[in-house]
Amino acid sequence: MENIYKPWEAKILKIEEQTCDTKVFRLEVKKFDYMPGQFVELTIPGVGEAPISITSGPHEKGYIDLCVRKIGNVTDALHRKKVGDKVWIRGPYGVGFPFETVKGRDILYVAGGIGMAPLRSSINYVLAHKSDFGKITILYGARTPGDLLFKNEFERWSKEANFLVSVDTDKNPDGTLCGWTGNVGVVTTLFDKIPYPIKDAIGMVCGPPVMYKFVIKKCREMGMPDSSIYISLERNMKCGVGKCQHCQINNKYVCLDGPVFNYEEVKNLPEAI
Amino acid sequence: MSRVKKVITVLAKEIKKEDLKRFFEEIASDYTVIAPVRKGEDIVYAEVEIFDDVVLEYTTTITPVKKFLLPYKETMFSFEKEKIREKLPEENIALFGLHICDINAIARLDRVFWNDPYYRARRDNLLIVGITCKPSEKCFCKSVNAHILAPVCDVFLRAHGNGYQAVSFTETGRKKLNSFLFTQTQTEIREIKAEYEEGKHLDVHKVSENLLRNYENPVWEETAKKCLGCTNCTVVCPLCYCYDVVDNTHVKPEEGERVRCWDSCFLLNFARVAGGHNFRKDLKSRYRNVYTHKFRTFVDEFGVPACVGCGRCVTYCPAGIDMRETLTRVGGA
Repeated sequence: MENIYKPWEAKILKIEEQTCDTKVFRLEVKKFDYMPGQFVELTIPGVGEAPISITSGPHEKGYIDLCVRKIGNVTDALHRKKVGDKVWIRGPYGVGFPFETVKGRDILYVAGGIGMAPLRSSINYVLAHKSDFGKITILYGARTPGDLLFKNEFERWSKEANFLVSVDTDKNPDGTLCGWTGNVGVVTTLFDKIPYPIKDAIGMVCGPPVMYKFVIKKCREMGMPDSSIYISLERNMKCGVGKCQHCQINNKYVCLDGPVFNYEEVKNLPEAI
Repeated sequence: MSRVKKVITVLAKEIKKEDLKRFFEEIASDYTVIAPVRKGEDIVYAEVEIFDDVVLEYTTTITPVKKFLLPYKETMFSFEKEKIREKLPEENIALFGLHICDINAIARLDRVFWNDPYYRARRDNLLIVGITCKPSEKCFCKSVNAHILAPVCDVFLRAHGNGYQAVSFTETGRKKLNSFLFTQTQTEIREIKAEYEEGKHLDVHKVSENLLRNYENPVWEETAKKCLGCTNCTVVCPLCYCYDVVDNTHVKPEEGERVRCWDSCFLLNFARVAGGHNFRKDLKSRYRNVYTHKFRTFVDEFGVPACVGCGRCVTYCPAGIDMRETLTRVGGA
């Protein structure tokens, strides 16, 4: 009998520093098909296992990229790894963002902070198949300019999509300005800067728990129906296979039914948002 | 052609009371036997070597049998120099003298853990011998459809006159009944049920519907004020199976093991995520979660509640909370 909990080894091919606490790890994988928004369980033996979303696109073969913020034991240990070191993974798990069924549609991405990690998987897939989709809009908010991820892709995203960035504050912790000349404010302030109607777009949203209700309110104001909005929920998906109960939200499992949910499906689910 | 409703019946065999000891010994020669034994004033499931230690008539044990299928702590993998090795259990356990509710709990756990290699390794080697129960006023198995024996039971011993009627639902069980200790009868048995008058019948289907519909029922807030969040009820519950996974290292950091251990959704940090956000900070939402899982999530997944009405949670709640009262207030009565 196959052991559903047994991870397999994956070599680290590349490590890219994004911010002071976030790196992108490229892992070598063979035959690994996934949807944007799905996740893997990453093991550092002796330290533990943690659910990490895949940030590379499903069209990229031979490797997966994981964008990881140093925030707990496992991610801490991962940050100490070097190129050539091994980690262990299992997956992919869950239901991701739709990409086949939304062909021909306009897409609106709303990312908050590290929420950019799973969305980037969908963004890069969609941009690589641009002719299959309508207008692409990306709204990205971070706490400070120093927290922005994937800055080296901003130029490409600006060229190929309507890409808008905003930071909550343009000041350093000591109160001095840090030289940011872009938008300042929460991510929802960017909605008013979209130069075309987005009521027919498919929304894909990922960010900190507090962000969702504000973003959804804004999407509704723009005329988007709830069934057009997809959100990725964060929970502690310990086992990834619907057993341990840590990610249960009433009658849904984030690891099996999510992490990406259609908003229509969870808007009346208590405790979801 | 007439349609005939097919009723599956089994022919019962019989065993005399004084022969039970020899039947026990036959089992004990192949298995490690776990049976109800006396511990102080209570009854617990424990390893038994001598038949005389087995308590044949009892109401319920403190701890449920889940501890033999999903141990409190078990090693899943060992790590050694960049190698991960799985450690599957090789136990050969016979559970002797289980009541219908506890056997049905195993049948329900089977649905969750059938593809779990650790559970399955133990389960595949497991022998289940059931016995007639002695219901107490705390039993409510009828309310949760757990009063009819599930066909996972290898041998069931139904008290009958001065001995037992023995029936079997599995191949392993039929082989056990081939022993000379059993005599064939012509009594047809259709189902085995717990026979008693239930104090108060609860409609768990209504509970299931009401849980999400009336989410802010005042019962959660009020009962949470009494609840100590001690997890006693989830520990003694035969169907509470939440678990946590922890890695341990030895002296050398590259050697260690991955251990799975019991967890409880009553604990503060159960729904906490990296970074510190806790989705169920207050006891009220954790108390409610026990019910939504048992009577809604599990029902949606497997068609039955994650409760067999054994009444252990009622007996062992130090705050005197009665699950049946809560269920009544959620519309179960």
